[in-house]
Amino acid sequence: MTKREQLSNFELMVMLALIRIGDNAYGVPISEELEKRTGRDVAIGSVYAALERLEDKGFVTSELGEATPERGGRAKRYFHVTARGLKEVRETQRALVKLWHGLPELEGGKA
Amino acid sequence: MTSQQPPKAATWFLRHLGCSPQNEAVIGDLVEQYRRGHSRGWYWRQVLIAIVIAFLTELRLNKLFILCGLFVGTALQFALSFGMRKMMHLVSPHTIPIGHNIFLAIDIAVLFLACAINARVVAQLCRRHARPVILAFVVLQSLIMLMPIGSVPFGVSWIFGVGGGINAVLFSGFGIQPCWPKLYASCALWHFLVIAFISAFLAAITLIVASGAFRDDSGITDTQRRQVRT
Repeated sequence: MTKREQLSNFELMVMLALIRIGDNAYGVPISEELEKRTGRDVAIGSVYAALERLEDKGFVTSELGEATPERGGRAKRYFHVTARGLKEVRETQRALVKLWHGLPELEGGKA
Repeated sequence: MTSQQPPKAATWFLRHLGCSPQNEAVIGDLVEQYRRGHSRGWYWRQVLIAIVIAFLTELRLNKLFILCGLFVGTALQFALSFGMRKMMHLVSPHTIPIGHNIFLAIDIAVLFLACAINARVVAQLCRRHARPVILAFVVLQSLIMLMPIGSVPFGVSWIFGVGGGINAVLFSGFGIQPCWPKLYASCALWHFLVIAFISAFLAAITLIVASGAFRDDSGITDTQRRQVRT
């Protein structure tokens, strides 16, 4: 069996935020999306660390955008999910759904 | 209400100590978020988290490379300290007894000189990942330096004993080592700890400054930085 690059919990959340945001995905909207959906504080540093790992695994690509005055003249880095990344998210979803299925303790949204 | 300008010192720290190849984008994002109304405390916290996480990510992604850098650095530190002290021993007048304050001063000077040369050489050898390698070496060296030499008087665990042994081999020569019993006898534990922390801090600063790996590289784009890495 070949070793497959897998997604950690936080990496999966970042991938889902990237897919949700689409073309305008750079550090600020990604961390805001994660904060909005999870209700937790998210550090920009940890988002970039996850994005770097995802890029290393080939699940994400990035390109430099425009520099804007509100960023002190620094350019944005936009991130896009690759076809391989999308496939990995689907496979993770499939595996999680299979694991979830038929667990009475987790049905009905009660802990 | 926060001022429009984020804390300059925090940005300076991130620019100089940040190991991420996307450091400029991280700073840009933080500035943008700060200007949307976040506090100075928030900005400082984000900067510290970004520095630590980027360092740990680099450690994880380049384990072997950084381990090699640490090995070379430690070997070089030993060779430099040992060689210089041996030389000082040969040329020093025999009238001054070992353990005299002058030896202590020479030893400290030799230690810092060895740190400076070592940092420069290691940063040149590991140019692609100079920042994480030097930071890893700073952490390792600080941990070792904080292990008291001959820690028996404190009656602490064997880990300190081993650390103290490495410390003795790497950092103490004919000057510092014979002085420790005097220090133990004359100093309270907290005195000793203050001295140890100050010397570890100064050695860390020497390593960081002398390596030349932490210069302001804001003129370099993230793309160029990533090209250097690959």
